[in-house]
Amino acid sequence: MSFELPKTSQSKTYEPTPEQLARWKRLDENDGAIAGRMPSEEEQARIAKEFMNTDFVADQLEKVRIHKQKLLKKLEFAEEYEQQLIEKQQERKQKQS
Amino acid sequence: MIKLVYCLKKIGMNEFNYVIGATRQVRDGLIFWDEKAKEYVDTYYQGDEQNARGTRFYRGIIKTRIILDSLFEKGEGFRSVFDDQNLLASACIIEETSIFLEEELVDCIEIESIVNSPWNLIKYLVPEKRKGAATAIIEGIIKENREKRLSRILKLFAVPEEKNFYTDLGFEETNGSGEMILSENQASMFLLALDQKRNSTAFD
Repeated sequence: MSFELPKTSQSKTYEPTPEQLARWKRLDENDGAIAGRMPSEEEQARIAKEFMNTDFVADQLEKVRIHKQKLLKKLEFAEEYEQQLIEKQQERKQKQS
Repeated sequence: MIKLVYCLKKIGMNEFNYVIGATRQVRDGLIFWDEKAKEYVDTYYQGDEQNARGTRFYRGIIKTRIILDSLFEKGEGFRSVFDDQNLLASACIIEETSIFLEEELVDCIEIESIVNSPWNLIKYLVPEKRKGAATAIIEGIIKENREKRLSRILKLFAVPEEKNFYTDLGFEETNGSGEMILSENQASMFLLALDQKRNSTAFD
């Protein structure tokens, strides 16, 4: 699915104020956005070291495999529970008939 | 995984595509970020990441790792922008939450983490650098939420060094903890300001 944002006027007619120009300049100069809580200095040093000493692809592969195992266990539980409930439903139907 | 692309046309400004979800293209982009960040540590910081300590680039490495740790659990909250080189320029994780505003609990979107690509953070002039990525991702989030009729109030925790950037975008501090809010009104003003910038004679 793709959206194109509304097109703005093709002929540029807007005269920015000096304040706007100054703000746009600051935004361009400071466009190095980082936000969100940061860990302690010690933790940052540990993460940075890990970044340099770890093969990213191998590390992600290991993590994705662990994640996959967790999901498989959850799936196994869901399938077992589903089967149990189907059996219970059939049992009740048999009793009623 | 949902993939939704908004074309963020910036007349006279850099162009970015807004992508929803941790798509294959996004994951490829993150692998490239890692390769480039290591290359920059070698080239500009003598191969020792501690030499970069205190820089925006260093904080970006940390934030990128934090975002990556959320990839498996929060992949659907992943939002990003790609530049005209088709490179991942900025990425963030968002989630729906609520906040007390004027003693009323209202819906809002929290930008849990946001980070620009290593080349958009490093102070050195590198060919991949494209200005405007973070502004474009915020614009994309507001427009996506408007499209989905979700709250356009945005919340984030700004690191102290970046507060001025978010203030210039229209965010306001709430309680001095670093928490900043972009109200519905300020979000509209932000979009209007971008339209004005696109139509500005200053970019002829």
